[in-house]
Amino acid sequence: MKRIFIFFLILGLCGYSFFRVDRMRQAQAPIPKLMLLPSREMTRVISFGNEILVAQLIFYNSMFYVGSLEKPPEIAAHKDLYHTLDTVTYLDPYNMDGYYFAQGMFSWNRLLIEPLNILLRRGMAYRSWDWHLPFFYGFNQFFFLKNPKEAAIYFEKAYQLNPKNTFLPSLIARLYYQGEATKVAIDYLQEMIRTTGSEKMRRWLTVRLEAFRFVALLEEGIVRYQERYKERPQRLQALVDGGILKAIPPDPYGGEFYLDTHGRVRTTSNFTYEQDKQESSGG
Amino acid sequence: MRKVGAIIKVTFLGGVRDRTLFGIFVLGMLLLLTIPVFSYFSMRQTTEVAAGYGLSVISLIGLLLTVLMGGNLISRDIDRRGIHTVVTLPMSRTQYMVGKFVGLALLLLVSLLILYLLAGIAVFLTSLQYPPSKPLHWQTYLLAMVFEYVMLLIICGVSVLFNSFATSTFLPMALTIVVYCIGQSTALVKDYLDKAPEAKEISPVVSFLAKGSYYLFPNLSAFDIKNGFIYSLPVNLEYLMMVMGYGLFYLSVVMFVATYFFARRNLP
Repeated sequence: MKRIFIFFLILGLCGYSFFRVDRMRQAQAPIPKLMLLPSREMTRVISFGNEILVAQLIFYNSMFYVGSLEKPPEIAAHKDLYHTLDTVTYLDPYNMDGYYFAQGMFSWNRLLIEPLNILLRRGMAYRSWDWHLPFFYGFNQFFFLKNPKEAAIYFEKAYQLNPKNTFLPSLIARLYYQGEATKVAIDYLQEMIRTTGSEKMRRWLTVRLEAFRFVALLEEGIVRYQERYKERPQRLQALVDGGILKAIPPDPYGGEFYLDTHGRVRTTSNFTYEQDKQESSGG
Repeated sequence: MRKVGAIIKVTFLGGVRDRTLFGIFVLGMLLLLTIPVFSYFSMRQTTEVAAGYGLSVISLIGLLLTVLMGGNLISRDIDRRGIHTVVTLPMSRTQYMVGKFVGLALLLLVSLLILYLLAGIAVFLTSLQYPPSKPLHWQTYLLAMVFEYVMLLIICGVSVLFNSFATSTFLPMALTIVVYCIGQSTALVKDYLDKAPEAKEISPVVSFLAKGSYYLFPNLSAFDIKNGFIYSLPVNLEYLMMVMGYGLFYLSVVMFVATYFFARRNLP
């Protein structure tokens, strides 16, 4: 009887201490951090033949780190994140998770677009059967590097690798018309959202897609305005005043849409959150 | 031959009855059960991650089994004075050592077969739910197992070599782990020294030692063809045959040196 009492007493104390530890742990949950990695060559050597497993573990660390953030990672963190994903794809150059995640994270960071393309070229050299990589590379060439000829070559490659992709031929046709850039971006984002396995990334891409749909709406409004009034609007508000649109849609990133001096639709947010812009201008 | 057979049987059964080894084997099976959890988080390549994780777990468990079993192979008999009974039997020390090695090799083979079967089932079930970007080549899976086995045999041979002159159990284990680490990285280090521009600044002595290690120690990374199965890559049969030949010849040389030392050893 005495033993049973002591057993349950210890069991109760164990449960109580676990409960307290659990509460305290949740109250001061550590901020997830990226692994501090040595050079990719050194990481490969110390993997001792388990590069694929190590690459996936490093990838999971970066994914959980990004997943723990409420907003996309700050521009300042991109460099570390890039090193992480570069290491992942160096250890396992077939790792599609790494390429996909890098494209989702860095394609809107103009400082990292060329390094990102280096990763994608590595991926294309190994995953020669995968149409996604030339598709991503082509999009980066077109949308960020303003190189439609190069983009067309890579979209063509993507189409050859997967002829079932019926949207690619129309995408190629649009490449040579700068005015179609928004629609190319929408097609690209829809494909990214369709195929992503990360809920957090899907949410961020959906915000970006929404922003580009508003841009497309405004661009269509400008065309209709020109047809009706035989002149280009000087400001976006003219679309509302002229009865083309009921209101100027809000920028999901918190900025405001406006017309630049060339008559193109821009946004003060530049499709990034306020915090990123501060980081970008500060750095 | 019958005498060697008896040593093989005793070594094999001793391994089966060994609780530590059994524990490691069970740990391997439990780790394989976590394949669905580990691969679930992949964004685009769930089946590939399942295959990579499964094969890596088997590789680690195989290494643990080899090092622990190989480290004890002869030194335990010496510690427990069982060797005195053996040396009085009408059999050569070479026969005794070969018998020990083959017993351990059989134990590793059975362990690998079971672990590969379990991992294969897990990967196959994952592939049904998450079809990979390219169909899985199961013949490459078998090849990966064969080459993993040959790699473990080389480590086992190295362990036997250290057993042939070591006086403690710990030393062969520690040295075998060191050889494994060197063997897995020498090819990478040599490639770096040959190709990287910054390698020119490395001291010639360090460079010479690193390159010397490449030729002296077994090049274990050559036996790693896990990638071929995970990403359904074509395999170069000629290259694989050369690797297999290299492995078996290296193992023969190691065993030859081990038996040479063991035959001349003064037993306590």
